[in-house]
Amino acid sequence: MKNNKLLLLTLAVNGLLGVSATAAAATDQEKDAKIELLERRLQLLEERLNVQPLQEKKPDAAMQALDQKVKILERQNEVNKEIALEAAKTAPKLEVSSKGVSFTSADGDNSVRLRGSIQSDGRFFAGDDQAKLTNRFDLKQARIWLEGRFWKYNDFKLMPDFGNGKTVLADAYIDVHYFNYAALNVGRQKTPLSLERLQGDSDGTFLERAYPTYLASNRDNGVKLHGSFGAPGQKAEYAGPIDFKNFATYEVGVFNGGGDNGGDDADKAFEDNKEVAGRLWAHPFQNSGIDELDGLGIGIAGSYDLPENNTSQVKNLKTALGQNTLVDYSNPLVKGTTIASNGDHYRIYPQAYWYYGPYGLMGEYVWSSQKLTGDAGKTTIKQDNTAWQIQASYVLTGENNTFQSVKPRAAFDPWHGRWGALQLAARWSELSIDKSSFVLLDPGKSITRASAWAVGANWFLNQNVRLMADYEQTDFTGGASGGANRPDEKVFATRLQLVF
Amino acid sequence: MNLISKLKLAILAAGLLAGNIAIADRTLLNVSYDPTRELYQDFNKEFTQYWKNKTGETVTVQQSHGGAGKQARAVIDGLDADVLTLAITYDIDKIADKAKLLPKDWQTRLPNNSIPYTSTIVFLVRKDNPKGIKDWDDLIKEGVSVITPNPKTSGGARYNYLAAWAFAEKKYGSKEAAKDFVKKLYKNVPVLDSGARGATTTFLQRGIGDVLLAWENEAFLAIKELGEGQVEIIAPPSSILAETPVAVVDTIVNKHGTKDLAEAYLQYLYSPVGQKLAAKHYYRPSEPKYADPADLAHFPKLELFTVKDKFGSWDNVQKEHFDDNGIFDQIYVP
Repeated sequence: MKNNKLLLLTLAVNGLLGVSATAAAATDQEKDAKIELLERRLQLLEERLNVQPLQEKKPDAAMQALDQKVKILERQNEVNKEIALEAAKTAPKLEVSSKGVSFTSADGDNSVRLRGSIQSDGRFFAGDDQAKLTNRFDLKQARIWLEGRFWKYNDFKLMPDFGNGKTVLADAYIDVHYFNYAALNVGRQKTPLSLERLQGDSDGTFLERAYPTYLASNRDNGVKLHGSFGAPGQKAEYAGPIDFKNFATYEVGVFNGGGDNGGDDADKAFEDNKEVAGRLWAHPFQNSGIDELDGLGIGIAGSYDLPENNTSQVKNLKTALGQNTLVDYSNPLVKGTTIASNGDHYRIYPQAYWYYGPYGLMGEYVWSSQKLTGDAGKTTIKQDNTAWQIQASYVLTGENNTFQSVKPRAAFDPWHGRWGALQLAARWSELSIDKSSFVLLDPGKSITRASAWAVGANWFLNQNVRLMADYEQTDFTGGASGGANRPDEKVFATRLQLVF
Repeated sequence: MNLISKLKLAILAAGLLAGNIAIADRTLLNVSYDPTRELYQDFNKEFTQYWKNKTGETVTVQQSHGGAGKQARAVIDGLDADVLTLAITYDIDKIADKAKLLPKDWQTRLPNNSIPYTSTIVFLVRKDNPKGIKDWDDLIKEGVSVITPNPKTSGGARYNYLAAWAFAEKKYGSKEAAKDFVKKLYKNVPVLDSGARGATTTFLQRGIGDVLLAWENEAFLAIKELGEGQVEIIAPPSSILAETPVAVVDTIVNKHGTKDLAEAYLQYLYSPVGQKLAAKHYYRPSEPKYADPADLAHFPKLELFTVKDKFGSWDNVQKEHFDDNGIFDQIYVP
């Protein structure tokens, strides 16, 4: 309405001005008169249209109060966010996941994680008509452990094991890793020798490791220097004291020395001489662009020990899946004597694996040479043993096959048609015992050779639970009375495993 | 040249080289509280030039600013401060006591109890002071919105609280009355920022509140930035003297080899140049004779009391008012 009035006024004024333009020629007096007339008309028009000059509107008090309230709310929100952000900087994080229960400081430099595992096995022997081999249920592993980190570069692991009817301290170490290329691991740990031994205890493809592992020393107390290197142009990431992640790694350590498969009491040092063990490992085609070879790993490990005046018996060797005694050092030829390792002891372990998509291959070979004494020190022999294995695996359900087990894409959930992951595997493994050993060993109780083939299936219900089933058949040379061959061991074993 | 002479020359050359290495670029870290950024920006320029002229050494002064309490915490937790220029003596006492980085008698080592300049708390109000705020009493009136930070996290806010408390205790004659007074005051606080700068943002940028309880220097800076006529400073008849101390952190300077530099840096605050700069940045110099009279004229005249006058010590204040379950926790409900 107001705009229309203004328009009319404008038009009126313009009209009036137009009229005045035509009177340009009139005299000055006439001009003045006309201007006066125009002014009077304009005044009349203004009065009629009631046009007032625009006035400043005073802000409404209620609107101001509302505006303040909105601003206060917004600012409170901002301040609360600032406070929450500050608090988050120092607030620790608690996480419960498939990887266990972990507490981590806000800056990530400190953390403690609670983890555990249970391996519950069943072993059933076929063709054992004389019932010499006992079908049984075993609690192979029952572990609960703590691992973590302090001040960003100091990791630790403390792991007791309550399986097999006894309590042992499996791992207890501190790993100080300020430099990826030179970290120090001190305490009870796996010695850097057998590839399959270095695989996580819950990550193995088969229920039990193959023969090469049993000629390596087991966990031992010692100090290990280790380092990791990235591929050219890349930086290595810290991956723990046993690294299968980076381009190249080395480990070299000094340990008490527990003998093949670890002595019965490997946390005691029997003498001053220590075992030196070392390993080199590489993924030579990592990030090379050749995807098929990205998962190829090759390495070599070795150890040297010089036990002297050792009176601890060499540990018996057992079949892999059946866990029955193969080489019986505890029943030597000369009864009542002890067979002990005394003198130079070398081991060399070439090893490799390859994983690509659902496929996996792993193999290793060991040559172990040691001097054994027996018959109350009267006899010393040099024993050269060898063992090797090759295993292949395939994940039927298509997930990636890795050295660190298989992660199913979808957890087992039959109500929604999800079945987890299924892996099939096959293995061939052989052990040869030096014939010179039978000056000390009883040939009726110890084999000279064992060849085992095994097939297995692993059903990964989810990242934490796995059902395993293996069948292994071992063929022996020797090991029975009169020098005869021990009957084949045929064993079917199952395991239900939970690890977090 | 015989062998002895050659040896002497070699030793002399080595000494000169070592000397040169010893005086090459040292760095000083000054950990300070929030509002002193502009002051130390200018002061550091002056000091580094002064030191260069005096010794030939080029030095760098790095600054760290933040809420006073937070800064003290950072030093206790490992921030390597060579010098501290904080808001309240209690924060430096805490560093001496908990982290043992400097002796407990640190305050005796520099003039005026290690306080080269002071400040106070004033009111910053809107143009024309529409709510007619003149004194602390006006802050508890209905309809008056007060902006002040959280005294549990901000050094400046502690001065605000204590100034209000002291006013009320004097006027109404009892601690209970003072407690009731600050309770009413904080009821008028719509937003409780964690620091002085946050509170300034709330009042100036967000346009919230009728009055900001501000450091005097911050209030002058606000007028300078916004321009005259947007906000006004109202100085209450009485307020608290904010005694802002400085100290060398012995353990750190011994580790860094910067003891002489740190001592000279703080002493320079007391020099004519330092005092003039303090006044220029709206801090009340401990030696006003060195300041520009035009700068001194800015400071309003008001009755100033210290924490010691009214409360005995910062220790008492902290325990009674600002520790968990102290009086502030009792009277303030978010």
